[in-house]
Amino acid sequence: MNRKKFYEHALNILIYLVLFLVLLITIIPIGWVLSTSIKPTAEVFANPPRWIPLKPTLSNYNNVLFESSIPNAFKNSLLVGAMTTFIALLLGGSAGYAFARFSFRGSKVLSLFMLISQMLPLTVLMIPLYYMENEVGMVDTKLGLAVAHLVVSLPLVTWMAKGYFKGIPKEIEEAAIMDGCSTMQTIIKIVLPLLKPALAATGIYAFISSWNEFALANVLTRSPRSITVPIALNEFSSFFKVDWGSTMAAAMVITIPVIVVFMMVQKQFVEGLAAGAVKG
Amino acid sequence: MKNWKSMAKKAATGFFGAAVLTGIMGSAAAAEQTTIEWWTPNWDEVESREMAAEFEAENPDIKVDLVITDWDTYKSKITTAISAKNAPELFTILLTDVAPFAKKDLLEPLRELGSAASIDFDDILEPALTITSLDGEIYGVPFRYDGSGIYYNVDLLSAAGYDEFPTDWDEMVEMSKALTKDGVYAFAWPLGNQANAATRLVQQVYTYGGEILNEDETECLLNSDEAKKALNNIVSSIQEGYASPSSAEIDNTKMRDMFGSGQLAFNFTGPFEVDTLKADYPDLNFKTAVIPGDGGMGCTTANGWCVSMAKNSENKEAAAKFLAYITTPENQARLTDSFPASKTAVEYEQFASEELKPFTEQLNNSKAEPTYENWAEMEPIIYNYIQSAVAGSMTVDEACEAMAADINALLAW
Repeated sequence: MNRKKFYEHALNILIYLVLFLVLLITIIPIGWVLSTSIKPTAEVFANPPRWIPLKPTLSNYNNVLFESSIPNAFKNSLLVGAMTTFIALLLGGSAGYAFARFSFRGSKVLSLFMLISQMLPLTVLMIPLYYMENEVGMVDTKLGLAVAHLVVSLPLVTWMAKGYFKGIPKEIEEAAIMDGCSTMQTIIKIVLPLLKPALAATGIYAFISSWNEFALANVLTRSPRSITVPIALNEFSSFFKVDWGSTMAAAMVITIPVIVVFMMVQKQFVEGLAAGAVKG
Repeated sequence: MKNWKSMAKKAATGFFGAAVLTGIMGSAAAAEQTTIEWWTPNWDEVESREMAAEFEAENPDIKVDLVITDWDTYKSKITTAISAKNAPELFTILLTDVAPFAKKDLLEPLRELGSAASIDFDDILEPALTITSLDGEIYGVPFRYDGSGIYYNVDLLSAAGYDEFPTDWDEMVEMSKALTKDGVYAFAWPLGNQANAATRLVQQVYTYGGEILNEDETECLLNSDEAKKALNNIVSSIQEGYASPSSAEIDNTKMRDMFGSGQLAFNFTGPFEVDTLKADYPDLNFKTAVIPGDGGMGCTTANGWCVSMAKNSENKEAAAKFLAYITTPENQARLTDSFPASKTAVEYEQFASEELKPFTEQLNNSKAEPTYENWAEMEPIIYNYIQSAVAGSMTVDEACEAMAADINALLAW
């Protein structure tokens, strides 16, 4: 018994050590970003490197918040992310439900075909997307970028939604219909409330993939009305030099809100991913 | 009461009439105004905005919209837009970017259009204009033209017993060995960046009198003795330890910061660093020199920036008028921290400082960066073999033979 407890303790210590190591690997780069963001230019490449600057400064944050396009790009990123998430959930959710509940000819082929777009490199899709959006005047608009981001997120959102819908016993829906609900009422009143964590996970996936996307935003946006944060970060890099202090300050400014939101909804996110993992 | 009503009616009619008239006049004025778009890089933003505002004040019938690009993404943005025939009227690109676009017939020929708008092509430095010309036609108006030189840390060289920078490569190697100590390296190579790395090899090849391709561009000459000497200079400096071991991961901008913070004793870069180094590293005591070579001054590759016009532009005359304005000698001088491409502007006092003199001298031994049709495909081949040789997985001979064989296969494709 004592030996068993000893092994349990040893295993726990080992697990915590590994977790601590993983935590360090995750935290150190973020810590270095924070440290660089408060360094004057002359200290950024000081040798030996210093965690705490000799002359800490907030001038990089002043530059990012009041003299750059980052705040505007942040707003654009939020709007583009929100549009992408909303459309992806609406269309991907509906398609996922159809794939999960209705059997129709070509259902399997179609659902597999959707994943093919995930296998194509973005650079291959870039020019056709640019041509199409250019034809309808959507280049350099937030909606145009959101539509382009759907190319990335919609197939996977559909697949995730299909898995979640399949995880709900059909009998629950049949019972609701027996009690007098229409199909739409069943979905809205019964199925969707059961899928809250799963929908949160799917929505977060769609939002984050839009928030971080660079390649499409690079060619589809050009003016302050549509550029997003990954593009705006380049503002601090010129032909002659890179303003590392401001780049790191901008990275902090755009990362912290996302981390806070993610921490608030991480329970739903993890539950949602687990739900999708049980039945696919 | 009736009078009041009548007056109100008249006033309303008058107001409505005035509003309609203003609207018509306004829309007529708006219809007459031509809007052109100029994509300009972020390091020229302030001057570009000033020039656009000045031009608009002088030409109320033309409105200039600016789109600010950056170094990392300007090329992909312009390539996509120009391929989709959605490019702006004018855009700032590297001189060596012009030929690939011109060969695909995506740029507007400027000799006649520009001359009609009073662009003085005779005032543009011949080497710069040559890079932006194809088959006798001009496809870009150069406004900046420069090559690399040396920046050296006076204090570090003095401590090692050197008052001046050597002009011979072997002397420089001897000095580099003396400079490398206490965590400070003599210099570095920007081998973490494909374009930067290829440019450095090309400079070395040119220094020894070599070439990248033969005259009719059908055979690669990177397996020549000159090219092997050139690659050996890069490889041996890193393997013998006087060039920074970080060379395999860094680019030109990182080298600049390493030099500024005293981790490198000297650095190869362009004249545009003079002012920014002074601003970012006020304690740095530096001077400039020409690049050492094989028994004398080495060769630098020269490049610069120009403004080109998209072939599918809608407002070519208005764009040419603005192009003429931004490339006057005075405005070229405003748009550059290094050297303008205008013969008149290059004589201005601002380009005659002590720090800039070696760069002027260096231009006497300079060649244009490669503008071969397949250069974009050749660069990654050259880059991979430089990396292999530096990593020690290939000898210099093997790397040069392999890069020539691969490029020959590419040319024969």
